[in-house]
Amino acid sequence: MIINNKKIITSIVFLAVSTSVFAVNEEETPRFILALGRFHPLILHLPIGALVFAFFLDVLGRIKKNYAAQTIKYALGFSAFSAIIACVLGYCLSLEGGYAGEVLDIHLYTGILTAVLTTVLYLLSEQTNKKTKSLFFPLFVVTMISISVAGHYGSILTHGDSFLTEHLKSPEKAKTITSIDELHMYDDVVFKIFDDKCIQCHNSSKTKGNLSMISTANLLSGGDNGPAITPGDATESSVYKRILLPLSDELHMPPEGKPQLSKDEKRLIEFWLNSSDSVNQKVAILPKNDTIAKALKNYLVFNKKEIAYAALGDIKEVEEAGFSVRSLAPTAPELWVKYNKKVISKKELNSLSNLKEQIVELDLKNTEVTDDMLSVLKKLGNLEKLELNNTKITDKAFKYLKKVQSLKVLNLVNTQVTDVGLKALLSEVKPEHIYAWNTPITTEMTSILEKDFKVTINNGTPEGFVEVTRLKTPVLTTKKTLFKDTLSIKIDSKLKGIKTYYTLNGTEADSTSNLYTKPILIDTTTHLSMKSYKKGWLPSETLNTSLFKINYDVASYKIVHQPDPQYPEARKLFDLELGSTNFRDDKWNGFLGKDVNVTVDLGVQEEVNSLTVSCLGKSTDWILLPKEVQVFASDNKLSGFKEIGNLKINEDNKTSFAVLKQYTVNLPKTKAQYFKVIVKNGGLLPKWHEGAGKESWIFVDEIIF
Amino acid sequence: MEEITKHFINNNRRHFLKKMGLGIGGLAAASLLDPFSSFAGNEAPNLTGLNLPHFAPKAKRVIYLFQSGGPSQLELFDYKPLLQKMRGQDLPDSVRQGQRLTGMTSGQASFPLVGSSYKFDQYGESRAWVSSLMPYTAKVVDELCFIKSMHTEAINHDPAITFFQTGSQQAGRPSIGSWMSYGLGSLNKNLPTFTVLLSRGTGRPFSQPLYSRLWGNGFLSSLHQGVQFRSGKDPVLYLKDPDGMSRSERRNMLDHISELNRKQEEEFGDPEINSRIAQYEMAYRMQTSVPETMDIDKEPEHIIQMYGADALTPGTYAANCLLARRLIEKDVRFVQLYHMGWDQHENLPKQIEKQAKDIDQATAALIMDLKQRGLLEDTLVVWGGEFGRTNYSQGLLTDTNYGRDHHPKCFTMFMAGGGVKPGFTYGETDDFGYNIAKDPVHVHDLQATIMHLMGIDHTKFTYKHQGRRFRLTDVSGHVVKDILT
Repeated sequence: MIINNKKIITSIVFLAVSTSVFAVNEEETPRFILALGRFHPLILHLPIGALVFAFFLDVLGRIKKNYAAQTIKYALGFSAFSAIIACVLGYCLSLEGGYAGEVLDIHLYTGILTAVLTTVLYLLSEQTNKKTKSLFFPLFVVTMISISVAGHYGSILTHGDSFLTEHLKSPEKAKTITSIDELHMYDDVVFKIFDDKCIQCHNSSKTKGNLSMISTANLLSGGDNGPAITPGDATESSVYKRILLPLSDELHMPPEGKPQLSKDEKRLIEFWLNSSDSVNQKVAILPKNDTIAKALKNYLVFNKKEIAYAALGDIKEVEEAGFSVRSLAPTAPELWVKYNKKVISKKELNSLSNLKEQIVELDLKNTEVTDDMLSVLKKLGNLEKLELNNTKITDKAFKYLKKVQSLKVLNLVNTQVTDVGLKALLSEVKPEHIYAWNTPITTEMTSILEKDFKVTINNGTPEGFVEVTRLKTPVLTTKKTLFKDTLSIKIDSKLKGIKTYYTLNGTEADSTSNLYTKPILIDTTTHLSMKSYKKGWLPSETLNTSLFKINYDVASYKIVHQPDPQYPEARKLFDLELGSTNFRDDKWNGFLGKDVNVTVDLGVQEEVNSLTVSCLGKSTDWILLPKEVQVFASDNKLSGFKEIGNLKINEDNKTSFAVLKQYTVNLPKTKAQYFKVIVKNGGLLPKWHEGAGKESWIFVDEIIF
Repeated sequence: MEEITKHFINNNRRHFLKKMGLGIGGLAAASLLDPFSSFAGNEAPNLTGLNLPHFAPKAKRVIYLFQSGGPSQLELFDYKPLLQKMRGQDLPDSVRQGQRLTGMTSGQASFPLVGSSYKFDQYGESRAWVSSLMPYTAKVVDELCFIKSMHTEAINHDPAITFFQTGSQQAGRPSIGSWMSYGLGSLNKNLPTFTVLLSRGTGRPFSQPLYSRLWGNGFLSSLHQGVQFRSGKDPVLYLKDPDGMSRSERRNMLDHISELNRKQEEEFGDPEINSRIAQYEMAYRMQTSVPETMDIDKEPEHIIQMYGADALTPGTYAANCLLARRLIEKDVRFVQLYHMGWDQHENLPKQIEKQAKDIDQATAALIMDLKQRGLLEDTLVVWGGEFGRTNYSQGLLTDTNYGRDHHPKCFTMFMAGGGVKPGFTYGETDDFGYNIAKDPVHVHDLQATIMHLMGIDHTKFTYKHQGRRFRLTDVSGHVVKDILT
């Protein structure tokens, strides 16, 4: 008994301590008390577990007739002890604020009741008196009910009142919205976000920081830290400020570990708060085609229609009529249908009625469809995009289109529809985009209709996009600038009505020069000038080019150093073809670190008065221009060469782009059969060059006498 | 499972022994079986087999205007007045932050900052910045969606272009157009699903060449490789019948060949045989469809004027833009243009002027032409190079001349049409135009976004090869949702 008395005393002391804490007021609550309060969620599960365990043993013992009195007693003792601690800690937690109202009261009192009842049960379990023992089981049942009630209300405090039943209730059907103009920014958008992420802790029963967020009035009146929103300025609104704080910040909301707001949600809240009249803001002011408007769509469900999947047989029938049928996505029932041939009749089109629900895009462009074939359009209730471009349809086709209320995009390019027809159509349906280029529809009407019906109508690229364009400089079909006997000059222009004028005498061509009508045949060295004209275009740049007649034949030649194998065939030096600035174009001979030393046999004695060497320089590719060109002549193949000309060249080679240079050595009139030409390599790469001190390249494409 | 079943169907015991007899090479071939070959028939692969697209697409077709060489964002779209103010001063280390440089400027003693030689102005309702080099583009900015914060991982041309095209810096993966062809299939059985058009720029006419592996099919069936349309007499090589061969003779021959091929396929189950049969058939149909498409002589004069006089010169960028529109009109899925010559290491002001002139009018015209035909509604146009250019001068900075080296850390691209916001600019670079200040977009992000617009979830679109699943975006990439309509 003594032991029992001790236990009674301890229990009473515990209860006394717990009640004494009640007297403490929050303002004076020491921080350690608040800290202790946070242990409530940890401890509270201990008495529950132990109590349920004891109840289980009790019932089991009674059925099995093997009553584990000792274990039950210990379990109850543990439960009572931890229940009292849980009560004390729970009270500490409630001092923190943010938990108010009826729910807290019920939780508090049922919690204490449970602690008391458990203590009583424990004391009873010690009793051997039959009378008191008969009280034990009914009291146990009452305790179980009490702890259930306390636990349930506790869960409402932490998880919100719909937590338990959320998945039990059939989900609420999203409201179908017919008109965005009716919507209210707070009720239809922001509230949904708050309800998801904030209201669990800021509602009328659980008001953390004394803030409830269930209405704009609540938000305006705010909580411990003043009003939660400042209409018209998101950055001044504490709700928005706290959302933007870094997650690690103590003041950040929602607290770390809870679901956070998405980027879109933040944007919507910012947008809502920034509008001057946040409280009554309608959604309608959102600009179309905007990120915010897009984010909004995720929160609202528009006119969503349930479309059944098309039967395979129906699709097949339409395909047999000459259409290709594709689903927009295999997981969606919507179809995209296109006619594959040109010839079409009402019969083929009528087959579409099999898929009247599923067709959202219909492509009839470039077909021979006419107005009276289109009656099937009336049935296509979900048609969003219709392409009738390059067909013979007229305004009469619109009488069927009027029924297609779902229409969003209508392509009428290259048809005979008119202002009157389109205006009448737009008063019945509200598409978003219409393409009406190359139709009798006028630009004046286009802008009127765009304004009146909130539709964009494309009537071709705006005037002024195309500035007057300059014609291409005439291009000769032949790339040769050197020729033997004769050369036929031909130009090729695909543009019709172009007039090209030319001169052959070295003067600049203009519209008074000779008109090019047929290929020009030349038989001497000529300077050609050409220019094209056409009405509505700017005249071309003038083509100026010299065409050289070559009067000799290189019968054979002998070269001391063969060109590098990458740019081979010394024959190219005399092929009458000049290279471009691209040294890899197969017209060039390249020599690394060597001179070009070539002896030429003209076959017969020829009089030569000058010699031209055509070279390329591009120091970035280690190609330098030559230092010197020396010319020797002889009548003997092997010996007797005398120097007859010499040109010293001094190029700085510093230009970084490719340069084409022709070096002409003027010679005293010399009659000879054999000529030796030495083109001196530019030498080692100079100091300023990245490859200083290394051998340089020399590139020669032609040697012309 | 699917592959394994197919493997067993194709390889019975007799087969196995026969292959053993043929040597170990036969075994190797068996493991290279196309996992989706059950869908490869005479036609393009059955779409329902792949269950693509994942959702309704905003864009059904793509024109990718690849600006090869790395156009300078600083001269075209990314206006940086600070660089003009600090002209000649050294790039602060705090800005460069140890970024690796190419061998072409890493040895430079100083990195003198240089601003654009060309004037910038704001245009359109969207007030987008465009330089005086792009007067026509300036007129259409309200159709464009600029991304100023592109960045890539590679610093040299080939790896960078390969990265853009295939999602990997190393060659060997399928090109983006091949992925689209494989995933979404053809919309026109008479033309290839993925076509390629090349042009050389006049700014730097002899710049780096491009390799056909950039539009290669990688490990996908060769049905999906890009088909290059050339500018000469034969747009597609070896397509014409030899002289003296009639079309009916050709038909006859193809019928017999495919009969033989089919027998071979039945015996070996090699999916490439099916691809070959399909390619012969495609080539046959292309004999009529290609000349018809390439014939731009029928284009009216006002359209030529729109694209510029160059449009009549085959092989120019303008002509290719016009062709791209014609191909898109015929529902070709993916048209890839490459315009070379944007690699202005030196003489930038002079060269870029020519480069810009090559492309400005035709690009803008293409967008407006697609729009007036209603095609921009579901066609996506993408414009951009493989990286940007440095804010400092490569080589000597003089009053009128400078160059710029490769710069992977920021550059500008733009898109138009099919589901991207018109008149919109996304992302920002810092005042030096060196680093990204806001909303970076990685190459994989761009690829993910293009695929998203085509109705594909890039994380789900994979192909199993050599024991692992590959995707275009490798293991990263996020759809840039903010630029979608």
